[in-house]
Amino acid sequence: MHSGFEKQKLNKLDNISVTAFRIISILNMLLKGPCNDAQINEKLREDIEESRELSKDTICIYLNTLRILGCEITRPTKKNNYKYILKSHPFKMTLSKNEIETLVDIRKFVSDLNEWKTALETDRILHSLLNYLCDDAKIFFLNAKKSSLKREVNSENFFHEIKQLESYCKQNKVITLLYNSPEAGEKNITLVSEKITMENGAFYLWGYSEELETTMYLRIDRILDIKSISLHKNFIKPKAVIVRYKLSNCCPLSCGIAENESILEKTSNELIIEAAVTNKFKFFQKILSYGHKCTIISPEEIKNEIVIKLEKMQRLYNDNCCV
Amino acid sequence: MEKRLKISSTAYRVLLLLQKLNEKNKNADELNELFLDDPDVERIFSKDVILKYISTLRLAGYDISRPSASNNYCYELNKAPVLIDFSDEEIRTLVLLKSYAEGFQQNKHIKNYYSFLEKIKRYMCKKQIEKLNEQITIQEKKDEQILNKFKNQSDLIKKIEQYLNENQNVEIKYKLPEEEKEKLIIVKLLKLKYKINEVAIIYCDLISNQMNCLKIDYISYIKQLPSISGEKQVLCSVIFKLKGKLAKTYRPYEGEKITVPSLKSHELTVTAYCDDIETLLKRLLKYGENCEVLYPKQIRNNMINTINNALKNYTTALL
Repeated sequence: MHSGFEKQKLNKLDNISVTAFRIISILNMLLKGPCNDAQINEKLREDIEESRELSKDTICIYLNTLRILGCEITRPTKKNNYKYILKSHPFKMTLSKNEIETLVDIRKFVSDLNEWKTALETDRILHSLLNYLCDDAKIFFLNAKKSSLKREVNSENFFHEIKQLESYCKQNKVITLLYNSPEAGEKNITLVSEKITMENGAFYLWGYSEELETTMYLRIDRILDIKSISLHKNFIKPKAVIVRYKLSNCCPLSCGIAENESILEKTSNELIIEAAVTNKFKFFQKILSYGHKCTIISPEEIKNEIVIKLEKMQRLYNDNCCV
Repeated sequence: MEKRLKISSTAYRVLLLLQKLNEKNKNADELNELFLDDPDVERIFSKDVILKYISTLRLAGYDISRPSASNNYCYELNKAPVLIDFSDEEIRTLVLLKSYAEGFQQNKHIKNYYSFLEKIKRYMCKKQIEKLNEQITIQEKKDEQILNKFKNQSDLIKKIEQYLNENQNVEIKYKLPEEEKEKLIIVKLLKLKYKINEVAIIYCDLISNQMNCLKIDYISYIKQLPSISGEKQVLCSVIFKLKGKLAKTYRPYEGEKITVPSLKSHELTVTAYCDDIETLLKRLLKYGENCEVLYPKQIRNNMINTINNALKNYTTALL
């Protein structure tokens, strides 16, 4: 709301429009919150010295003037306690296409960096700004979002406040949640919560399942309910397999060394990395994405598993060789 | 016929003036043009009348600058009629995003974000602007890592940005780490693309008309040519098949279309119109035996070779 409004003695000023002044006073009131006829008159008396009582008809004309300008103001009914409510106004912000493109590019980059907190906050800002954008800017923004940020999961649809989940993770609480699994449908999962991450536009909750003896990661937008939360901090240490692998012709920066990994050796064209693997599925995905640039060194068990995976992939192409 | 609402015409004109000044600075003539175009006004007014309207707004508390040479003889509404209430966290995020914009090392992003911030400031109260400015000073040191992420490549990024603006063809020499020889390409630059730790150019190869991607770290030489090419660019289309759980949960990426939803519910065919084949292939490899590249043959063979070579790593090791 505009804050520079001071009480005025209008009858002494001849070079202004008194009616416009009154309507602006009403607009400022509506921007603060809903009001009825009596409150409008009271406020006008506060803002303008010697202000006369406005009739219902005059107030109606004043509000119609705001409506013609583009303000959406509800009519007073029993349902809204006989108050006028300003639903929207025409004092919109005009953002250029370039400005919007930069905002979308930043948001996309934040997502690529997997900075889930910044992504969430950015979404909140962009969402609240949307109400203030002029129509053209709004349409351009929504279209840019639809094409460039199409994979971003809408955090407004989360059942649970993500920051609350983060606090459970900080305390490693054991939580039982109802999860909508794409394969098994709705099921209860119990895990020791560890961390929240973001990947490819989706938010994930990581946690250790004692039952499965593995670290799992679940899409937060698929969590339907949290059934129970332990009262105590949990000290179960997730089981990890220590794996060594070699990367050839890869720059350490671009190959993305994870937090559970460390570089053991580094030559001009080779890196030997040691990883504490808590989720094999995720680890294999990473190793496969390196293609022939990566070789698992140890342990044998993991080495054999990756060979089996590669052989299955090879077979897929050999079996369908005539495409 | 629609019933015409009874309104106060003068007040409407004053408020219309407020609305239009909120969109853009305007001089008296431009304001009159707006009045003339408005179906509820359709006339022009003397400068004195316009001044009266401006005086009403000023009296109501709106800060409107006097027309002068510095503002092109326009009336300028310095604060928006409505204010947005940002939380402290949102203010911090606005500043953090500024660091990201600056970290891109591209003038356009810096300029665009700064002008966005200026527009936002019009909708912020004085206290919040002070907080924002304070935060900018505090956060500059905190965000050093973001700000300096691509600083080493800043000169090259700025050079490429200039070439992008000038829209002329460019000659590039580059060398991939796994190859021994340098390659030469003549391209039309399309955009700069930022990945986690690297910057790449998206370009159109002028011989094949195919769009592709190249990390700027691999560029050893870049020179602008005195020629401009047309707009004809072809995105490489890659068709791949997905199976199992992945097919059930797959969310298409930018430029992807699910072309043939299979009758078998556990299969999906996707067409990716792609400007960065290397990144796409890395992702498809990640899907393991749940993904098969179908088309084009060259990419399919590329995939087969990668898998065969990856397997050789282990068979050679065994020998």
